[in-house]
Amino acid sequence: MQLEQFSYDNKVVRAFMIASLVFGVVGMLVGLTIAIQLYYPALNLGIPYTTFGRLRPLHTNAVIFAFVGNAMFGGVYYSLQRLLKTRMFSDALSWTNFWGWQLIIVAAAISLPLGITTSKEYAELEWPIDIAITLIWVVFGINLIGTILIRRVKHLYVAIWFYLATFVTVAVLHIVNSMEMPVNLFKSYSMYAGVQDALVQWWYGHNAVAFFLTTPFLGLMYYYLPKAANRPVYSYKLSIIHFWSLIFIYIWAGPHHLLYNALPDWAQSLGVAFSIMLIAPSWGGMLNGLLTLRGAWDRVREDPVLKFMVVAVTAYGMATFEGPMLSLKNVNAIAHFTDWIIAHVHIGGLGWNGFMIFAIAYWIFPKMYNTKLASVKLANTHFWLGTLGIIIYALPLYVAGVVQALMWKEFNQDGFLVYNNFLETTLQIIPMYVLRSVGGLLYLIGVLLGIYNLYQTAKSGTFVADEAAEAPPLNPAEPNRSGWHSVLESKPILFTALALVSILVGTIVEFVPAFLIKSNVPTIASVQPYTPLELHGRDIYIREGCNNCHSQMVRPFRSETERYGEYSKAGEYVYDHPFLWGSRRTGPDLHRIGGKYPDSWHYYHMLDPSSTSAGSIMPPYPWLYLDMIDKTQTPGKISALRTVGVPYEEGFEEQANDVLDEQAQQVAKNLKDQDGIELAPETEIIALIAYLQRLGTDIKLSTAK
Amino acid sequence: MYKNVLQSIENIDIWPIISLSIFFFFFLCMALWWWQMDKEHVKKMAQMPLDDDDAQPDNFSANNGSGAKPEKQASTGKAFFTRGLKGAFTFFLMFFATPIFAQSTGDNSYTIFYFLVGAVIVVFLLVLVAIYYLIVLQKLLVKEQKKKAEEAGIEFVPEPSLWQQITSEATDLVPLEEEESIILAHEYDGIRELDNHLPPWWKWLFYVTIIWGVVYFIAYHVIDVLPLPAEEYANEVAAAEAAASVRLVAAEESGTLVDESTVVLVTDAAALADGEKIYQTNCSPCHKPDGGGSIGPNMTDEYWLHGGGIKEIFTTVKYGVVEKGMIPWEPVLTPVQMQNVSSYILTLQGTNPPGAKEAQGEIWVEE
Repeated sequence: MQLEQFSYDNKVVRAFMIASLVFGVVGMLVGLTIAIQLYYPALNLGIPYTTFGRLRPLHTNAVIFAFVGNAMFGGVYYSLQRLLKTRMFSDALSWTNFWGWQLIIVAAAISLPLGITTSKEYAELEWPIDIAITLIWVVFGINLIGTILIRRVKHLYVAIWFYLATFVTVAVLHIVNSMEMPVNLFKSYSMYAGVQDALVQWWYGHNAVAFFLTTPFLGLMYYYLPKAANRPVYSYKLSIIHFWSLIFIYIWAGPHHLLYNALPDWAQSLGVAFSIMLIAPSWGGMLNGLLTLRGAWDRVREDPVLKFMVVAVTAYGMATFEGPMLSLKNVNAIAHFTDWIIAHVHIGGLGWNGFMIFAIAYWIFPKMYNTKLASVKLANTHFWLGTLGIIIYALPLYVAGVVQALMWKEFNQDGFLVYNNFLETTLQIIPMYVLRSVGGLLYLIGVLLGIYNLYQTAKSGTFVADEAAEAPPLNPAEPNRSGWHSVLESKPILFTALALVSILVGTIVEFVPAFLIKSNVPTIASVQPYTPLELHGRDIYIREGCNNCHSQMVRPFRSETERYGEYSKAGEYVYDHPFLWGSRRTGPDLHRIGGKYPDSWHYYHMLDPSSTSAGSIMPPYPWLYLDMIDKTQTPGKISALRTVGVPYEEGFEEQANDVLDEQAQQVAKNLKDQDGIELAPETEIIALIAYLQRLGTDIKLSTAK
Repeated sequence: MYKNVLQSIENIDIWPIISLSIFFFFFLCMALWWWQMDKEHVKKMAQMPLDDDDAQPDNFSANNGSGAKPEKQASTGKAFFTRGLKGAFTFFLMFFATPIFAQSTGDNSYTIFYFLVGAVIVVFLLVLVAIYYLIVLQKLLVKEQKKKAEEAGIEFVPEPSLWQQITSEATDLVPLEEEESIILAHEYDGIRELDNHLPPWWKWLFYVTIIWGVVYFIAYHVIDVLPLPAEEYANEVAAAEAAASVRLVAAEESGTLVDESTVVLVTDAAALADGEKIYQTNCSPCHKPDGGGSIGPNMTDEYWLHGGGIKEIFTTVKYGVVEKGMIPWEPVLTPVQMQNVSSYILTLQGTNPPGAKEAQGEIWVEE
């Protein structure tokens, strides 16, 4: 058999790994900053670009897409070539993938602090960047599938099944969730509204975790762990069963982010049931990983790569048990909106993704530079710092989450809320925030040590840009293993199509009734679209990232209705493009804030939150009192919203600004009458006040009748 | 959801106490029975040969059936066992003393709580100790069997322990030594795969979660035996309203009910101090800590928008002025608290703080 000569591309792998680590540090620094802002609000710096609300999305996007994303590409490119015994399909596509992705990250780093955001979590980037993401993802897909089609190994190894599932599912998720109507180059409105937007967003959000943070990394684990341990994978059968069940079941779990919210009950129940069913498929991955180390446990003691992998896979197992537990309604009733969720996220993010990335980096750099790791001791130090960091990060947040939730829920024997002042509950957990930032700092220091170590490793070796390899061409007569799955493994297109079908089933079952059956969102006659001024205000709310600390969803618990008012109904959100239910209450829920306080209260509160709420950690927003709204945008906003289904009358654009002026002048007058405040009606704060005063008031109109 | 129902059953807390008492009583009796056992009798039992045709003296039974002094090892093991258990038992008894450390709050339920916690810990520790000693005994037995086999020249194959039996059934994994027999063809860049079965415990976990999911969905949406959020909420509200009306009746009977018709100006220091605390926490953000007014009106002058008598102020506090942005405090403050803070507000009259808001409303004249 004639051996074919070719080479593996290590250059693009190195590029992705370096980008991952560099952006990882950036993302973690932003994370550390926002963690400190929670107990040292002065770190918001009094300027718009660095407030918590604008930086938090920068942190999440940086760590997910830049840190994890780049490492995913690097790890995939390295392993794919060797598993298929071929170079990537196209070097040009490889580099387009790389540079395109970095440009997207830079665009995110610029646009998010500027307040250019959609507000939808892990999908904050506005529509031009969304288009870029789609294009680059397609580039990646062509390169991925092209490489598979020119392969020399007939059967696809399990890692590649995961890479394929990742590719098709992320494509579907991104495209469906990013359906938005542009108003201008930097602003768009979600095509979906209210309940349906929430459903789509958390179908996306949960499956971003599933198919960007989990499946590609399971694939990477299946390659790098057996390679590093030099042990066979524990069970081929288990990889088959857990792969298909995982990708099928994961899709349905999205609604567990919306329990006790205004999502229809049947959808919530599906989310709960499927989340519990997800335990075994997820643990299949953990088992196959840990049990592959049988016979290599003595080496785990010495080898930092194996150490990182053990903790990574264990953290994966823990997080994929905690997740389903958090999906139980009675647990969720306590955990939702609290720091418990954030602790859970970081066990997975720091433990599973982070440690897996470090393991791969420590393994791959010596290989690519044809040398040994510069310092095993330093790598072990990184390991211990990181592990300690994860623990010091998560444990205080568990305490904080439960303490705050119990304080929210506590009634005294007279039937009154004990902590009716929300701020008390936030201030109570400040010490936990301090501890958590210490944990994050330790983790970051570990990463810096790692980067230094890898740099020294590179210096001590010579880079092998194109690794020579040889292999016989594809042998179509290569026998299958027993069982039909082996046949499927040699048919990549069919395999991909079946994976696509698997993930579409859950999508369709959850979306079709939610969108088509009207009774899922019962109409409330008195609910009307936002006025032009309120729209400007809402867009300011989104721009400043208020939804990162404030929710707009009063749950059907007496502890919430006593505190905020009537619990939130699905029909109230029909004109919310996008929905703003929120995920975390660092500050109180705002869905029933309309009419609760006078306009002047809001005026003082946003100018200096501690003036109305002593000890508040909310940053001030002084620029809202100096900047004016851009009234030229009003007609565009109206027609964009009408296009996505809000029933503004035809031609309303012509009068919109007049209506706006009238309402703005009324608010300005209120401020003058209430406290002698003089402010031009076009000031941004007036629009924001108008929006806040509207929230949750429509249902009171109907009951008044 | 069952929590609310179960909690509301009268005196239900007696049942866990009863069951724990049974456990405790049982273990106590068992310990006492063991303590008063005739140790000689036990030794004689131990000397009985394990097999009928066991002519060989074995090292395990004390005295080797010969009445000689027991071997150091065996007796040490047994003595340690008995000493250990005696010591442990005394130690555990200490946990029952914990209630004496409880401060006298007059609240009986905490004493019972500590007792329960102590009993649970004791039971748990006893179980752990029992397991530990069982393992020790097991190891001693295996060691003796091995020695016996070596002396007889037979190869010793230890019977798998219960734990080993359970784990091998549950995991069904092929031992490392036999790995080669299940290694599959195809290597992927040097990576091989084994053909181990799906772990049975994992399979069963999967099946159980699927069944759970199906039952869950049926219970909530098909046969409707479990309440969905709206119903849970309605139940919660109904329970709270029932409790509130009970409290209302009690307040009426004891004469502590205060409303806008019965409210009086209180002047005692304790009530006014309470009123000041309430004021600073709740009212100062809008009315300023000195009462001069900012978002809300000035309360230090004689001009009032909604009346300045104790009854009028109480009414304003209780129902708020919703159209102007003052929330009603009725859901937050008890009637007595509202009486106290209203009385405190009246003490601010004439204090004339700097930067006070201009007069609003009319001069209040007490009729």
